[in-house]
Amino acid sequence: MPADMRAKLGQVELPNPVLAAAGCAGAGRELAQFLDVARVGAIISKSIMTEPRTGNPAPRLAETPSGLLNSVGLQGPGIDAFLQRDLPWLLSHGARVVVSIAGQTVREYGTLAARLSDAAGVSAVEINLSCPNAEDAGRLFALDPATAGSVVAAVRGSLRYDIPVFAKLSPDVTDIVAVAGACVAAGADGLSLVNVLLGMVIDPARLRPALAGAYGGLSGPAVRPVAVRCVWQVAEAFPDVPIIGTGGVRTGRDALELLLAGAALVGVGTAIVHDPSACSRIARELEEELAAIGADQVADVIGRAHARGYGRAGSLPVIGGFRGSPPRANSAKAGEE
Amino acid sequence: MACGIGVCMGCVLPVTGTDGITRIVRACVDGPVFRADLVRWDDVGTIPFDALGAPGWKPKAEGHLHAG
Repeated sequence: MPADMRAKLGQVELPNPVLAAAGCAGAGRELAQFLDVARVGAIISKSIMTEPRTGNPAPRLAETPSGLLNSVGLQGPGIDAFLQRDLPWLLSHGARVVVSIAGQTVREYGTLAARLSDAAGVSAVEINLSCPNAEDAGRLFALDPATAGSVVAAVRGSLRYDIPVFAKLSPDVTDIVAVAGACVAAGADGLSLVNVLLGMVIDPARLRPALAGAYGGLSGPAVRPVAVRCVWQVAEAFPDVPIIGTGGVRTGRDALELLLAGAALVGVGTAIVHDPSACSRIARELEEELAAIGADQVADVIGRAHARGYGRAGSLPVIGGFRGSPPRANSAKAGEE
Repeated sequence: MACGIGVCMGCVLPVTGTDGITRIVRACVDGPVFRADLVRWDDVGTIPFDALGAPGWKPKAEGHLHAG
């Protein structure tokens, strides 16, 4: 009996809990020759800013053991071109779209949220907090609970009430639970974790940094244990806050791991660079993994690795799992609530 | 280049369009063949100041801060 793969993102039902992570699915069109964008759980756009942006000089990429280092620098077309060209394409091809937004100031995030409020078809907004604050010497918004919270407040305050806001967190912090808490307190409807780690490669042939910008963001399977740990910690602290778990997912087994840690949805990013069909392949593999462990639906495994096993239909957050389904008779739960 | 399909943004080059605007384009999907007279050969590996989205592209009305 195949598992019920349906998941929810706010009020939007997704065919499965596998999302294409921000920055790895381009504008969606690039993946169309490899998979049906309508059958990916949702597509998270690359981070959009108010103005077009060139990004950093090349070299922008370096390979690392089981990973990828990037300093692309948020190259993007700007919100106008995104709303005029990219979002309509995705919607006309049946995709559910999460728009990732990036800003250089708190104000810019608010401006982007206001522009998206007038757009149709936005399933959720993901706030990329791993951006340098131009008003604070380039310090990343994600690093400090207070600044992260102020960005989330600006977005939640400017965005149409019915579009959920997810704050994407950086793992390069002393206390990710504190940052998560500040985002939730500021109005985030969910959390997306994790963004990249800061890393560096020095090229032994040129005796120089491999990236033009010296250091960049590390992603891929090497970071998956960091993602699992962060999801675990935040899910434990905030069991009612939906989490999109992202970081090094390459197989259905990896996706299951993040769900078990407490994620309701799973993001796939770097794997797409190697396998453009990764999202659809991983969704298929995840379905097999669920069947193999006897789970009838995605909700059965969310947070299941936590001793108290709160991944039960009745106590699920709105996002994730199929709300309204009766508790499973054979669920081995501790009888919470 | 890492992905070859246009999502990783690693294979970029500065190329001037027939509209006179220089864009940072992807060699894999926006090319892979470009008119030789439109590629800014001397600027490969840099971001030209006047490229679309670069600091010199459009004077900002409010004078945004820039990192560089």
